[in-house]
Amino acid sequence: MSARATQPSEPIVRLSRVVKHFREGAGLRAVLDGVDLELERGEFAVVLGRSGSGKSTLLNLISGIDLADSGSVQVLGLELGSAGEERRTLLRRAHMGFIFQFFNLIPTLSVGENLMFPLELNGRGGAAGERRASELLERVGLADRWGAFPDRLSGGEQQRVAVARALVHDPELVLADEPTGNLDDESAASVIALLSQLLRPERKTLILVTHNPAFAELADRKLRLAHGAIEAQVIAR
Amino acid sequence: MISLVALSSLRSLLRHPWQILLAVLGIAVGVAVVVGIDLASASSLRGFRLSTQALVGDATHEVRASTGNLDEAWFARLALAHPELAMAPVIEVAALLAQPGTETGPRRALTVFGVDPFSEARLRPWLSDLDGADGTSGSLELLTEPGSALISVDTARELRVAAGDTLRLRIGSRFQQVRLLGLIVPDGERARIALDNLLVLDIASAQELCGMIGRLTRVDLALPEGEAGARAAHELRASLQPPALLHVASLRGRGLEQMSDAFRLNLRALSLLALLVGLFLVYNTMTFSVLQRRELFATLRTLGVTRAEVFRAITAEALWLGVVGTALGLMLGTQLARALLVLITRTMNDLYFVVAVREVHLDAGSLLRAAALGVGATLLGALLPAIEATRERPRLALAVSSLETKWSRLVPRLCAIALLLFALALGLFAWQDAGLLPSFLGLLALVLGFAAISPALTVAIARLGAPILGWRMGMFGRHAARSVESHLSRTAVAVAALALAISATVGMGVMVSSFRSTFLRWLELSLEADVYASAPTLNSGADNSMLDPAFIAAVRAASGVRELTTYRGFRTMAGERPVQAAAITLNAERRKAFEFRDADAQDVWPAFETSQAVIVSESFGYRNGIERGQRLSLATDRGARDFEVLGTYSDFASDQGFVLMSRESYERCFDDRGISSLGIFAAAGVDSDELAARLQGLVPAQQQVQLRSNRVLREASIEVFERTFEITGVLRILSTLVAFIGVLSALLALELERGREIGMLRAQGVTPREVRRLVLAETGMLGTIAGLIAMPLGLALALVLILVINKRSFGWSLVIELDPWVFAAAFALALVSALLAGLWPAWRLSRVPPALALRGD
Repeated sequence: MSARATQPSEPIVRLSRVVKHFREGAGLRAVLDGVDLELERGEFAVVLGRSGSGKSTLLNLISGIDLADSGSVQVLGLELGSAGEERRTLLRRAHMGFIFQFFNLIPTLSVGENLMFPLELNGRGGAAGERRASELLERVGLADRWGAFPDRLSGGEQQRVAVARALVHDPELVLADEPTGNLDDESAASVIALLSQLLRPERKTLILVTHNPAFAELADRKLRLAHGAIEAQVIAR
Repeated sequence: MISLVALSSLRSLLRHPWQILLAVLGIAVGVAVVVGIDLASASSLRGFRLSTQALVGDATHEVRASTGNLDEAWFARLALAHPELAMAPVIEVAALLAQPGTETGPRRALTVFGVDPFSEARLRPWLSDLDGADGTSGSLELLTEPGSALISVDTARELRVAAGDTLRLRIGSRFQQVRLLGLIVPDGERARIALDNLLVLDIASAQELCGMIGRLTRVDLALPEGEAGARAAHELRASLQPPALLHVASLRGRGLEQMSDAFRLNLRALSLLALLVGLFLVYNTMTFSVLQRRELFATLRTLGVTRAEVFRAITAEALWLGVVGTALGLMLGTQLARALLVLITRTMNDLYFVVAVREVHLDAGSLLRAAALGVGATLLGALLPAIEATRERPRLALAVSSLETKWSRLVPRLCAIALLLFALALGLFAWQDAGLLPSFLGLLALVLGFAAISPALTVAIARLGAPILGWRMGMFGRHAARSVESHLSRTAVAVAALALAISATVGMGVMVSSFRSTFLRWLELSLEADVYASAPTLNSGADNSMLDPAFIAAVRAASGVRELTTYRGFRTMAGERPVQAAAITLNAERRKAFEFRDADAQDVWPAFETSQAVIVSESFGYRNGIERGQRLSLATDRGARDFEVLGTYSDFASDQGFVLMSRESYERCFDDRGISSLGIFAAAGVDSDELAARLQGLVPAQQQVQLRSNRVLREASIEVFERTFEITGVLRILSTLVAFIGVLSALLALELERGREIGMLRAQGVTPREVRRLVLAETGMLGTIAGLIAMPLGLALALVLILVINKRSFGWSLVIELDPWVFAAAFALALVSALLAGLWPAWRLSRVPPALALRGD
């Protein structure tokens, strides 16, 4: 699957007047209400906001996991609203990496197999894929845990594997949904540092949802969501 | 190489081996029931068919009498008129082995086969040149020694007899002896099958042995193929006079086979019900296994695994479960078939035709059908969960609460679907002329309708039960009742599976009890005489046994006998269809025993006794589309004769139905003057048991006459009835077993879901004992709900079985009998099954340390 090739100058993510409601009892609540956003290739964006402000919903819409009720969501040149489930899935498979708060490693696959998973999905398994996975595992400091199953790892270690898995297939866009929310301070700082080290040199785009304002200091762009809209936007560069 | 998608899914499944084990077991038992019944039923029929076909040999046609036996002069006449045709006279009579030690065991039937070895060379070469096992030529000796016979080495081995032994047989009412001259070594498979259970005699010996001096069962003929054969058949037909008729040999037995069609169809329907329960079980298991892995599937979807890939992974798992479960089911089913073969063959022998089958034939068609059904049902059961897993947008960690919210929103929609299914079922049942298939489809729609409405009923009953459980068990009771509702996605499916299985027991129970009470009432009404005397037959359709006229005269003259009625059962033909008929004499009491469904008895009897008329049983009328006022053409010794149908009467003696004519009509149309049974009416003050014992003294030596008082005959009839329905008991147990596995599987799956919840309770000070009580209160609630749902569903199933399926397959109208014990027992079964199934999960949950439980799965 290939999305339409975007020019380096074109935004990698473009949201225009995006509205998303959720059912609450008998009524509807607008979680996102007319959001506009453009992110450039290689940008490191941090999304801040209170619980329920729509941060995760924003990530779900960008990843194509969920669809907007109205407005336009374009990722890598593809209009997700009209793309169809299959195309959205294949876009995610080929061009996105995901990091979750609860790690969401596949418990029934070993660490190595978890890393091989996105490569196999993209038809890049085999010896070359294994070399790439091993190399990345070494870079996250877990070279000796290839055969271990996720339940044998600490939270910090699991999240480092999740980071490696999100990057192993060389995606252009990495989405991280509160990746430090379940970690102690030291592990959290180490994961964010790792993300920055791995992504910046490669000019990968990262959208990081977090509660921690300290991590926002590392970002190129800070977005604050409140009342269904981007309340504030600070561009560092 | 297995893909990582499949590997992750498979490993997740393998984490709960009991779940796989129970699913495999459920599929296996469902398949085993289907294959067991199919193989046993087909084997008994195949035994009958093979022996019939093998004995036909190269004969293409046969000449028989329209009823009874053929005068042997016909053979000489045919041989003289058609010297160019191969033909052979045959005696073929069923006999019972009456060896010491065989009285109490299963009845062992043999076929007396009387042949003329010189005529056999062109029809059955393997019979014309019999080689004794000791190297002597058997056929020549047969001619020289009267009362001697040959059997195959295989049959001799089974009967544990050797050359030189004497066999004691009961043929009709007489006991006879034959000496085994030697054993035949069959030359080839065809000869082996033909000789199985065959007692080969010279034709003259056979005539003497069977009391058929001067008579033959038939003359077999081999006509040339093609045009010449058709011409020869035409000429033969033209030259024959009643009662001799020319038939196509290959059709022999087909009429007899058709008799048992409805019986076998009903067995198949019941076995499919067991498979349907199995289908629910698979659906149950697959739903749980998908629900448990919803986080895994969500992660996979988020990482870019497509819906089709998830669907393929789930259906591949189901395929493997189906293949393994089906393979195990085929093995179990083969064993089950061996046990069921005894029951089915006994019923066939009781009701239809004599067949001695000891081996289950592993028919590839039956096995393939069952395999396709097992794997297909598993895939069907997995289809909805697989679609469900792929339909969900891949939002991570789909909350259980949201899942349950979705289910509770689904309940009204399911109710609407249920109503549609009920309407469809009613429409299919009302489709009168459509035969059995729409009835079975209607039954399926009814069952699915109840399954669809069961979530709503589960919620309603759980809410009603909450105050009661709360009153008995306090907070735990209320929690247990609410928990049933809050885990509706799991509990409703478990309840539906259990309710379906229990309703099958209610349906079959009500049907059997209705059948029993209608049958008893009919028996009460129709057994008017005080004592019955009959020549024993091998089954209800046999017509070769007659009472000795001297014995009848002696009974008529005996003291204590007020009046006699007579009965002569015979087989004849209505066109190409074999018909069971009887000639009867009646008295005032016997006339009262008939209940006409479409005529007034006052109008029927005068015409019955004076004109050429018949009355037909309800099932005969239904099967043949015969109604009052129509004319029925029957083959008689005077050629085909039309009889006016005066009315249709209730009768449960045969599912094929009977045609009754007066003795006067019979004697006008047939030469036979035999009587096969007597109804003996005792004088006032004479005890019927005592009279029966006294009349026994009048039975000539070397004859057997069954003299049974009204009470004894009623008991014997009830015994045959009970034997016929024994197989439904086995099926009820197996269906319940499948359901039990389903509930156990559901509860164990729930246990996985509830680890955190129970851990939290334990952390807050709830003791292991209280956890067990809580879990058992929940399972008891599930059992109660399933039991309550099973009652109306069971009643509906019974009504359909009685009013639609039995009526359409047998033509019987049954009076519905609602035995409260059937319902009470079914409810108890549901409750006990659920509680038993809850024991293990309750014990497991109570042993989980709070800290571990809090960590979850």
